[in-house]
Amino acid sequence: MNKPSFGQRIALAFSAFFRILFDGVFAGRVLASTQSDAVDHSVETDPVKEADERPAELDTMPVAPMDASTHTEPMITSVSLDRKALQLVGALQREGRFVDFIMQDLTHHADDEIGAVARVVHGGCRTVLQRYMSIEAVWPGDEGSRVTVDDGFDRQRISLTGNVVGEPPFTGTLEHAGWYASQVDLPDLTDAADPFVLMPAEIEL
Amino acid sequence: MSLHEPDAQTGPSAYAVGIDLGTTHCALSSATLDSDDKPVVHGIPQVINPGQRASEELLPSFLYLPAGQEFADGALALPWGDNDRFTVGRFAREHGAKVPDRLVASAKSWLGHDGVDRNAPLLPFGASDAVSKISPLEASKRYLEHLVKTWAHVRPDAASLREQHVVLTVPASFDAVARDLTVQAARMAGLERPILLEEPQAALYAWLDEQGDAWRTQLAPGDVVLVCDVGGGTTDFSLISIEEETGELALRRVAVGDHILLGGDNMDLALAFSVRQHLSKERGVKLDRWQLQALTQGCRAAKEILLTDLERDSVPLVVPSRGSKLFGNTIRAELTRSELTRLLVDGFFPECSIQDRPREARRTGFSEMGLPYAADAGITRHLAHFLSRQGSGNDGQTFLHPTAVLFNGGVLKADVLRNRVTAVLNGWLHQADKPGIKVLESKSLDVSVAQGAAYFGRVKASGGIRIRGGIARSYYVGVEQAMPAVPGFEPPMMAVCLVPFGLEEGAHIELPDEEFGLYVGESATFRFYASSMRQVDQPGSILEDWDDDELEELPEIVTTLAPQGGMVNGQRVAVNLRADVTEIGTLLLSCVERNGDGRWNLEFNVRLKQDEQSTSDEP
Repeated sequence: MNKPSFGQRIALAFSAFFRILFDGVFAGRVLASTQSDAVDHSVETDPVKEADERPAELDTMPVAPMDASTHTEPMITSVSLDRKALQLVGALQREGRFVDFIMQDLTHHADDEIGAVARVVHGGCRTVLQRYMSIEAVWPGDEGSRVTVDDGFDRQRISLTGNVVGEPPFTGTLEHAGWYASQVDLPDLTDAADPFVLMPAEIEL
Repeated sequence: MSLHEPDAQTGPSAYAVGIDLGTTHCALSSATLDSDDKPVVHGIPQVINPGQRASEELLPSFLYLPAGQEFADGALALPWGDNDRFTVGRFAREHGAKVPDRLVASAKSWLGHDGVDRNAPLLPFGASDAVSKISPLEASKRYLEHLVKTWAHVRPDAASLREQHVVLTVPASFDAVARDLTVQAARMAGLERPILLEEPQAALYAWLDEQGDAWRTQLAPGDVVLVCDVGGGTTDFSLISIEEETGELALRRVAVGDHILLGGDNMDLALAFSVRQHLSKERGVKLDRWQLQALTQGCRAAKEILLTDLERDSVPLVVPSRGSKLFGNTIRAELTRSELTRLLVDGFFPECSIQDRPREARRTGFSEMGLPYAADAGITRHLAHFLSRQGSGNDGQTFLHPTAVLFNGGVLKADVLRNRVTAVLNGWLHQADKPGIKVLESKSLDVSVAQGAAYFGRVKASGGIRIRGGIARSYYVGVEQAMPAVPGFEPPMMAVCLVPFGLEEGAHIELPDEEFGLYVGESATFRFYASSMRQVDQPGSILEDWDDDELEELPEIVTTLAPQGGMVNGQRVAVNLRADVTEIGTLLLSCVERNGDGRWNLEFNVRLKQDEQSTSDEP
């Protein structure tokens, strides 16, 4: 995840503060994201007031849904930064029923039933990843072959495991060739999009 | 006539721009005029989901008309601005599949359909009156407008599209009226002088560009190239012969086929319908519209797998339940190779003899309001018909023998289908003791029409080899045969040839022997006919009777002669008919005063005759 610098976070906090104050929809979303239970859409709340009372904590990055009682404002930072991530999940759902699949309890379903559905999920998710990214192996080569890692290797792209001692060059077995997204080009996301909606409720008339 | 045509109004412009305004997809390509660079294909921004947009190589030719509160403000905005009235492209197609009453599809086929008023708001066809419908002309205009704005977006430093050399492709089978309407849509979108180019010719230009000078080693004088173009919605054939003129190779388009509404979308539907039938018969499973839609998509994907991976015998199909619970209501089926071969390869590309003919459509009165889809799905039978029509009569030959074939259109990306067409052609040629056909390899079957159009735009402006051919049909004017009036009988019509097949652009014909007496200030009506098969008729040739499939009646021309140069209303003027093939590839008809300077332009009356309209409006 992309962590903004402290300076960026100050700017973000200010813009978020004013947006919560003047943008009711946005404020409602912030509120919803801080409550662990599903929001009851039939109940009108006063999001501006509620959000306003919460202090913005600058150095918290959310990693899990927050309990409403903590009264932190974690989603403010992530609202801007995670829009793209949410957009990708939305696309995976739309084309490949990704969220449906993950959210379902598989315990009581037979393997062949899961296998059949997996085709839908696999086909759709593959379409999305191929459309918006170029994915290639980090280390093109046969897995299981002996390889040599030279001095000055890219420590983000290559992970050394097992008996890591001494100095490079290292010799070892390529266990996983890795994946590298050499190009990412997600669709433009305008202000009119709400990427938090991974899939709208469909009502057939 | 010079090949260099600097536009007096706008001055020289920097780009040749090719627009493929397809039945199912549009594409945009451009080439600079002063270089030899290959035409580039531009990504076309489009809404792909509310509030999300992306640029893609193809713009699906679908237009969605949202309900008042359907989407949030700005959800359908494009880089060049907001639009809440409609959206075109991928999201329109995908969302419209779930809301068919608001989806405009196949606008181009409607534009070419002379059974309806193409200026009337009739799309989405059959939608309820709650939807504010648009005309086929308006839909085409909106696609073109989208491309005009795309151009400004991708080439912000260049002059606007209206100032470039724009080449717009049309099916070779489009008649004079459909071509006029296409130009009219372009003008409505702000493109003043689009040059029309037939799609199969554009495909051949793309091939010529790809080959460079090497094409001269692949084709020789005497060769005849069959361009076989099977797109998403239509099938189009043309023949182009290679000739020698003053020591140089020259290309001439010698024949075009009829308008056949048959393409890839029919194939996916055919597969889905067949699977649906199995499900219903064998397992009693009924599919709703959403499920059939999902099944059609599944069939398309499965088809592509089977067509590329020849080792596989079947591909499983899964229609998931529509709700968030993926399991429980999942429908499973499969598409087998034998099914695919039976339906697609043998159904759409059957092995057939050169004597075979496509099955005729049943004529069923007023039910023909919808699109006139081809009654016979056998593309090879349509091809047999086309080749037989062109070649018979020469030295006992029963059909025209092509020596080379160029495939175009997304459907023919599949080797299996290209090989089938090639095999069928070779069977016919073999029987006629002719050598096998040469297959010209083409790379990008989806966008080559747009690229070929851009290439042609450059050639037209800056010089290079061009395909000659002129007008693709011969045209006739109806004249009542002189005979005593018999109550209850309409006097029989004769057709007098006005425009011969192949009349070149810039040329004109005037019929001196047929004099028409018109009255100034009153309306006059002309009946018009076109033929894509009578290539021998010369101006003045008279046909007293003809087969339905030989001559096709076009919308009539209704005109009122405005007084010119001292004429008074009611005065009789003797006129001749005149036809000009314009520089942009359309046909211009006019009346010319015999003993004076009067001249009146005539236009096809694309609105239906009043009586036809009132009859067809009745339930």
